[in-house]
Amino acid sequence: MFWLLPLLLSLVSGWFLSRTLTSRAWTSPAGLSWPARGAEAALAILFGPGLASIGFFLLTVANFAGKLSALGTAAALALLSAGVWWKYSQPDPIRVDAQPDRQFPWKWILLGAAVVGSALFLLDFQTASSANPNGEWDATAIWNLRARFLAGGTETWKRAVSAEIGGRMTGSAHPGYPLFLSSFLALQWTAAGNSEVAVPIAASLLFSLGLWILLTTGLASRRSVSLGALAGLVLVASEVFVSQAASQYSDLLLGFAFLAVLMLLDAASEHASRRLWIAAGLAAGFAPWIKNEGLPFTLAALAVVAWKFRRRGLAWTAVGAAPGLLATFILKLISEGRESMFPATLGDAFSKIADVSRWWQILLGFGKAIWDAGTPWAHPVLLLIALGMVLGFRLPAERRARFWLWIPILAALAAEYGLYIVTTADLTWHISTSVGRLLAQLWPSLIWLTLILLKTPEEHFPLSTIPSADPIASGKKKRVRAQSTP
Amino acid sequence: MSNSQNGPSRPQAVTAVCSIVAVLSLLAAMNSYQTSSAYAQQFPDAYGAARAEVRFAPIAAQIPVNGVVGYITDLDPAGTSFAPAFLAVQYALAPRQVVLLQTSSNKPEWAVGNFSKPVDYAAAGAAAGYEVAREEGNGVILFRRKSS
Repeated sequence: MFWLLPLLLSLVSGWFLSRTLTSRAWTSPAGLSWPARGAEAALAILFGPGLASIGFFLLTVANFAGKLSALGTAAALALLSAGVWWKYSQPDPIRVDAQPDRQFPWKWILLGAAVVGSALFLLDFQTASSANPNGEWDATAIWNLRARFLAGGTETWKRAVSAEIGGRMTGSAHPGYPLFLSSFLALQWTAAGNSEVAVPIAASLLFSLGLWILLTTGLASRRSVSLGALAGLVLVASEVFVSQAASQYSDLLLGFAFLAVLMLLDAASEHASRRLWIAAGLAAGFAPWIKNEGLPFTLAALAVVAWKFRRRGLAWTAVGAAPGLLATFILKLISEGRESMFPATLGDAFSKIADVSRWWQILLGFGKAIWDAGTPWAHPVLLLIALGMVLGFRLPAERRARFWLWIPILAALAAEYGLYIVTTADLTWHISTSVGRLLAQLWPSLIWLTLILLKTPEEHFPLSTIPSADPIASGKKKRVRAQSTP
Repeated sequence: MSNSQNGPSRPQAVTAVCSIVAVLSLLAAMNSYQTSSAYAQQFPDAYGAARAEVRFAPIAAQIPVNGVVGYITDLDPAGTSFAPAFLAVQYALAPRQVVLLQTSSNKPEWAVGNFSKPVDYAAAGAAAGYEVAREEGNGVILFRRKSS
């Protein structure tokens, strides 16, 4: 159980950072503070482990990784983050929304349903993890295997980036695959001095729950509690999410980073603040450190930031992205061999690009993945359409103001599509073994991007005429703190 | 939070559809759980990693953690079971590195045998330049490179 110590330390450091950097992003709808606290806690699950993973990787590359140094890294990050929080925190940073008090009377039913949905998700996770405690194929072939190499110490860590990995077999040999997950697991195994099977299970559970909590509470905080609960329900109805959670893969973690970037950039568009840009940058920098598919997303996000927030926004976002990008750069420098699925020559690539049947086959593959994303009678796409039809869209100007948030996700989708077009692996095999996971990366963001275009259930109910017992909720003490951008 | 400019509208329909979405979502989550339970019962340890950890524990105890071992098997490299079997052994023995002798440029001193059925282990090892050092049972063999 000693592995819990670095895990807890990394979560503590994440919480301090999240609290310091992102409090401006969240509001307290109707005086409720739990959505904001939930969103902060969810981001802590991304920030803390992300930085701990990078810290352990740098320690490993410098040949200093050991039990004490691993623990020391986690502890130092926690202390450093606490120091940042101590110096820069604000007394009560969460803004209380000043909007008229519309209430959806069935809000608590939806919240209760979301809690029951999360409990069903946990049961599912427990069942799958008990049956396959080492995870699915890619967990034992790639992510956990490389974590074991990294945790082996100075004499074995290079095997995680060696061309020999996976017996050089296509589909198993990925020496340049990013190391967020593997390095985070290796940190805990190194600190514990063993390879406890609970470590990757706990990490998968944390990241999946973090993603669910961020989607639910982020939307609850920034739009409405009912819409947040509905988002959480649609996500647990998504087979593409639930089935991936216990796999111990990096795809949901990447989806977590995607969603965090988009939410924080959306918040930054309303309350320009260097803290929010740094936070968005931190999450964006983690994306290529989680999976290669994260790189086009991050580049597109940085381009969008340069367009929307100009040089100042780009500079602070780049500062935030620096740790993840630097770790990814170092990894690419030291990893041996090349990705076997890329064509060797431009000619090979062009011949594949010119083959129209490949484009069609990939389109069908994505179509099937979307079909498989949920059970037909409660498919998440149908649920979103139903919500769209009854809730209706926000005003055109409000919708247009958020279209730019689709750009990084579309860039990631285009890159994934492009990889299939040029892959040297058998296309049918490649699509069938990976397209569902690619969709899992994008799915939570797609749910969020869809729901932020809709009106909230609350907006369909009249202004409350009954004074609330809560002085903040009733508007007597409504306030918006001065937007002193630090 | 945005505010509707159109005022209140369709509250009954909103309540009904939100409730239906909630119920359907919970039913879908239950369905996922049932599917997951059925899969778990049908395919426990689907890729053999847990079984391999038990089978190859005696080998792991004999090879140092920084060691490199070759891999000898009776499975057809073109067959569908070859890769999962190899990767399960690699996972069980990590951080020791397991190399496929046919793709590796050097022959490690030790090799691990992973056999799906009883065969002439000595002959299988000899074909790769190894001799049997120890039989661990259950198709697990430790081979040592033949001195030339």
